[in-house]
Amino acid sequence: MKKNLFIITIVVVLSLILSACGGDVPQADDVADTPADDAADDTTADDAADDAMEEPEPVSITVWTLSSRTAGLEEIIDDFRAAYPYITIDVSYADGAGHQNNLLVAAATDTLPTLWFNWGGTLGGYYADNGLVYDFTDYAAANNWDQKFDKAGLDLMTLNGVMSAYPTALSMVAVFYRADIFEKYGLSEPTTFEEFETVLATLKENGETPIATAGSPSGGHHLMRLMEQLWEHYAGPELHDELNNMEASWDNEAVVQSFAKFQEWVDKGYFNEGFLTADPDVAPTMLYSGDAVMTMELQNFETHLFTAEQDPSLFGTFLFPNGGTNRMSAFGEGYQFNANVTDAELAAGLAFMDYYYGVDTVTALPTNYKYPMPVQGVSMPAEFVLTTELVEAVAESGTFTINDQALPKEVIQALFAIQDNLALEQMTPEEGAAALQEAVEEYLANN
Amino acid sequence: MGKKWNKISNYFFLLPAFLIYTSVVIGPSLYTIYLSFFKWNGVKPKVLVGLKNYINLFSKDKLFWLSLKNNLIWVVLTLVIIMALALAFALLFNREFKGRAFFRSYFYFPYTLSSILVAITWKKMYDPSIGILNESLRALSLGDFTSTYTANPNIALYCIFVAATWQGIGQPMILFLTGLQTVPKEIVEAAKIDGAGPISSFFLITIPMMKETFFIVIATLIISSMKVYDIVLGITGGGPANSTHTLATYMRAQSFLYTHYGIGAAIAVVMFLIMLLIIVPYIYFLARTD
Amino acid sequence: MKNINLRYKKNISKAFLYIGLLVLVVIWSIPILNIFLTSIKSKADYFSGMGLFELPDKIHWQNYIDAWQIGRLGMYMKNGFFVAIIKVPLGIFIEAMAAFALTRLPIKKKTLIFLYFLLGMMLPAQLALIPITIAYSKLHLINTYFGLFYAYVGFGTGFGIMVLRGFFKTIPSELDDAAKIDGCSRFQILFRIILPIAKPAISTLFIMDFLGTWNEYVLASAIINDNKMKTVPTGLMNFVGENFTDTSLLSAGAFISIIPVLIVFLIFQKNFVEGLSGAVKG
Repeated sequence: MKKNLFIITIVVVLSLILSACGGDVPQADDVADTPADDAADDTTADDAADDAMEEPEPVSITVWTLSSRTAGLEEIIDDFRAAYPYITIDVSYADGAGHQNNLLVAAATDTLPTLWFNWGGTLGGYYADNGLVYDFTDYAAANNWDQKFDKAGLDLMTLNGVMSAYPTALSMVAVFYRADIFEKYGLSEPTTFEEFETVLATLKENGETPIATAGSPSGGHHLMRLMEQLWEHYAGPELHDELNNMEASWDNEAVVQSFAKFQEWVDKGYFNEGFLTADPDVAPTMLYSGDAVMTMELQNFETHLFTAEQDPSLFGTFLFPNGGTNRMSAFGEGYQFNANVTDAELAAGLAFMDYYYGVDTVTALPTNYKYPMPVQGVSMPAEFVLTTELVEAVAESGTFTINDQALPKEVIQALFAIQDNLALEQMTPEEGAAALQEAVEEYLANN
Repeated sequence: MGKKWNKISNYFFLLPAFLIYTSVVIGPSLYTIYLSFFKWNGVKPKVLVGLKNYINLFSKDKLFWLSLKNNLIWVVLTLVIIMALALAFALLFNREFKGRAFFRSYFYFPYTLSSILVAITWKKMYDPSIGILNESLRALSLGDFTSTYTANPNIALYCIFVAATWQGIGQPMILFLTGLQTVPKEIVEAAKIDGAGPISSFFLITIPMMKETFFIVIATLIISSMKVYDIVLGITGGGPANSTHTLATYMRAQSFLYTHYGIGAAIAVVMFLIMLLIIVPYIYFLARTD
Repeated sequence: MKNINLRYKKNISKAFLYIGLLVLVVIWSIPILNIFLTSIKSKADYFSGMGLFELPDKIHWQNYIDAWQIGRLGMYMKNGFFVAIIKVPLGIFIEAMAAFALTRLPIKKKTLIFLYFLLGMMLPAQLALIPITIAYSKLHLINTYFGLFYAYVGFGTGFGIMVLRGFFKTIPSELDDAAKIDGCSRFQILFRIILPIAKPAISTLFIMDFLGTWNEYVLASAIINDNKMKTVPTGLMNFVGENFTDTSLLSAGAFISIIPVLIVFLIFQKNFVEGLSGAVKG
């Protein structure tokens, strides 16, 4: 009797232990080890050697990034491992929402990895504000980061005074359109707001859907790209920035006019049917099929074009004519480092980042990257015609931080709801502006 | 010595289940209740706020009341529509006819699918431009009847509910079927001989004999209605204009979007208390009428 | 005369029955049909805005190959199977022991203990999610299958004990007494007598638990970050891109992931009704 009980218990405990030891289901490695890139070694290995000691101690780093980046990254990691045998690097992937969740939990339990991908604005700001990231300000000054990276890239990842990340991408929002449809109706790229409205009207008269967009929940940010252009137009750059910093009240004339104009465009049927809960994917798709003519997208629309095997000659881009220099909405991305890194970990992490985003690796594997990159010396592949156009434009136009990263999340959620309500005419522009200010004040009161 | 060991060793059978369950379910839940009395963003030190989170939820939080309303609507819809349909199917499949096993499995099958899959599929189906529903209507020259479905805050919740019905019929249907088969055929036969029609025999005999089955079905449906999360998050995420938020999705927003972990915890506790509030009287009522 | 009329009536009602059922089956199939039709379109086809019902010139089976290879669906399914095939028997074993104790051993306050376990069914996973992830982080259980099993078993005890207890109750205790006289230990009674009789309940529980584990998302996404260890639902989420989703690929992956579910389901579904009969009798 006792013996049986004993035996069973042992069996159960053993099986539990075995599964704990396991952890990994043994897999054949999908990606075979490739020999290190000869070209890559020279520049990046030298940099790393400068930072590290002569005979480097083994060091271990963990990296968290998005699963949408896996393509090609595995190859790069294997090459890196071969080039830097003393660094043990462990990379984990998660989809966008999962990645954010993982970071949040890690933040609450003090288990953040050595470095992790993050967006700028309030997303990355949470970690900067709570003292969880390594502040690169001193390091950047000492290591000439202003020559290594474009100023825009550095600025967008400087959150509340903390240079919080190694910048890796710079995203801008512009209007992308079907050039052939424009040509059909004799339209040219509008350079003023009034011209833009003419374009909208002309397209609509001819039975086209002028703008494709998407609403909340998954697409509220898409519609917001248009909304923030209206704010920039009616409020002007200075007021817009103050609004973004919550230093000025949103309950003002400019905001009311923006909301009114938005409602006007909804009434005139300028948007795709049912855009309110459409997926953001739908917007580019509608351009491909010709079901809509314009959409507000990030410059990686061009990458998407290529992946979707579309004919690039059919598409064009222009900056939204919000007035003045036509500032572009932009945001940055980068890799944040753990505030508690040791010097060895910091050096190893930077070695990896320099390798990953080093000129040679990028040149060898151009399709893995989001363009443009703030890393200087990287030239874009020739086929990225539209992106090149925008990069040239942004130098003159300047940028403002994209709203859903400039404002705190609670306010943004309120904004998305207000957008929906305006579109459904369940709110007047005045009510919308007041509601938005209310959300801002509530946030400020609670934080 | 032997006798005492015997007595204690009886409890060893319960031990593994008890230990694991308590450590993984009860323990963390108690911690969440504890958390609900604080203000915490995950990193900064916790600040004790007592009942403030709860008071704010009930007095100032419009979205909380909206979520609660949606959950209650969902409970009613589930009990009325899903339960009735499941019962109808069960009655149907209780009779012998060829292919009954096939049909029975076919309608159960969606229940075996992952909620994400169901959400993604139905979301695409509801797309006003390229979704299968509107496309079919247009193909049948019924283009005037197209709708924006989940883009329309007035009907969005009900559209999600249709998807949930497709997925959710399976479980209650099987439970009812099982219950029906425990009703001894002789009693039903005897009633028929006594002249009872099919309808009265159903209501006066079959249903009372299936009391426990009904209890389990109703209880599980109420619980899952209060907890509904995956499918709402997957199809509308709470929109449009926050019209489809449920307590569970709202809790997620507060916890993971705004990092207001204290408020999120409070919502979870309220969710649980409401479930208790509905189910405990039901148990009491059931026990009384036994 | 009367007999022919009766048979005629019966045939008509049977015909209506089958027609009605067939209509329902067609309606019920629409979502799955949707997935399939989307999965056979290439990206270019999908973006060309062709209607759902139009078949492309070339059926793009490449989506399936890509979903398997590039999307690593095979790996996720392997992981999912591994997790389910260990967790389910383990869970059933633990629940059977508990149900056995609650129905056949002299335990005090059995009903109270049973209700204690039932409580867990009312708790949404989200309630426990944050504390679990925090605790797991500290105990280094994140990214371990052990941690996943532990959480799954914990959350499954309520339902499992309810089903097994219900069934065990219907087994006459005389069998136990007879066995005891023969000198069987309690374990032997459980294994040699009760469990074999309870096969229908165990089958039912096996399939429900297997499917539930296979499809579980909330806990899996919180506990497992490492891509190599992910199961199907969390793995499928990888198909959802940052800004754009490759819908055709996702549909193909989704369709593939349904197949093993279908197989397991078809094998075990016959025992469904019997297995639950104990549970519904309370």
